[in-house]
Amino acid sequence: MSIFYPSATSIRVILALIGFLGIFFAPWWVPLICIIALSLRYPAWEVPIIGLLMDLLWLPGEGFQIPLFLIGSIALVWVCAPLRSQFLRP
Amino acid sequence: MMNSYRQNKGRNGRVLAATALVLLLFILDVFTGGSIRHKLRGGAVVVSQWSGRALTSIRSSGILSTRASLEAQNRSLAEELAQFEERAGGYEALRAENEQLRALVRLVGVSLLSAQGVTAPVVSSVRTSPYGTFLIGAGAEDGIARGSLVLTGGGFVVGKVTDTGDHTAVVAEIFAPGASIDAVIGSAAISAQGSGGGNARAKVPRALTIHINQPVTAPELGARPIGIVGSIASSSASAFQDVFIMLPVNLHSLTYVYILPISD
Repeated sequence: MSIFYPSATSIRVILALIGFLGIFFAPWWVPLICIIALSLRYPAWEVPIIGLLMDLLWLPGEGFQIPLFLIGSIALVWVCAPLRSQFLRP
Repeated sequence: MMNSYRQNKGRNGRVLAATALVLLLFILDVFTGGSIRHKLRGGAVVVSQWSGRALTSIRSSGILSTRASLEAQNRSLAEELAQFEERAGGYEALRAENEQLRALVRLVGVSLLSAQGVTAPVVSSVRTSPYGTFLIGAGAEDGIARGSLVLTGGGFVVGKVTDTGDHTAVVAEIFAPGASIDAVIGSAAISAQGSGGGNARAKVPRALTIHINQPVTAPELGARPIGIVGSIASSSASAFQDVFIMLPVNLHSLTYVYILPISD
């Protein structure tokens, strides 16, 4: 492993970190990209947590608002599970 | 084969546990009236303040001074320009209001300017939220309640408080993506469709004369200004003209806002 060829775990950690920090500091599409990338490549338990934090932090809280990030992240991580097990077998 | 199955089962087990946990936390938050989100927002405010201080100290230390100075100069000039535009827009809004008041024979005693509000720092960027919201560093303990109007220094309404914690509050933009608000341009009643970042658009009959920088007010917000006409696009083939409304102040550079009490 080198800095030019990081391991899968390093990439996952970096993506998750960017996702978590992006919730507070980056435009909303940064965590979204991290969620998609993590869901496509890894069985990432971080994904629903990023979705939950996004919605807890930014949902207006007045009336009923659909928690799009939470629902989307859960759906994505489970929809991608068969794809991952089919194409990304270790 | 069996090992791969076990591995996948173990990995998906973690995802299943995380899914169950987040759903439980979300439901718990809903049933406890937002206790988890209020704590999280409080933490976000602290993190934001720390990072702001760290950035300030890095800038003041002289590292990246050339680029930083240029950026700072650019930012201050842009803010200065926005302030002038906002003042011009505010002046137009006041002038239009003055004309309307003069036209009235009987005037009900309103005390719009006597309302005592709270000035609060904006602690998050409007770009960060996918729902057209932003956080301010004042909450229920500072006298802020749901429904309070949030104004710029020039008196333009930028949003409404939709949720309050002890020392934080969430503000939903008036021109949040997908939001719509009934407004008035001159004498024309319109429905402005928000597109985020302090911008909105509306369709107005082509016969009406509308000019750039004309103030846009919202009757439901006490006839306060919510923006100015930024540009107009009309075509001879259409009976309507597209009016693009914008806030005269850059929402991204807003550092402080003024919150009016709900009684107003």
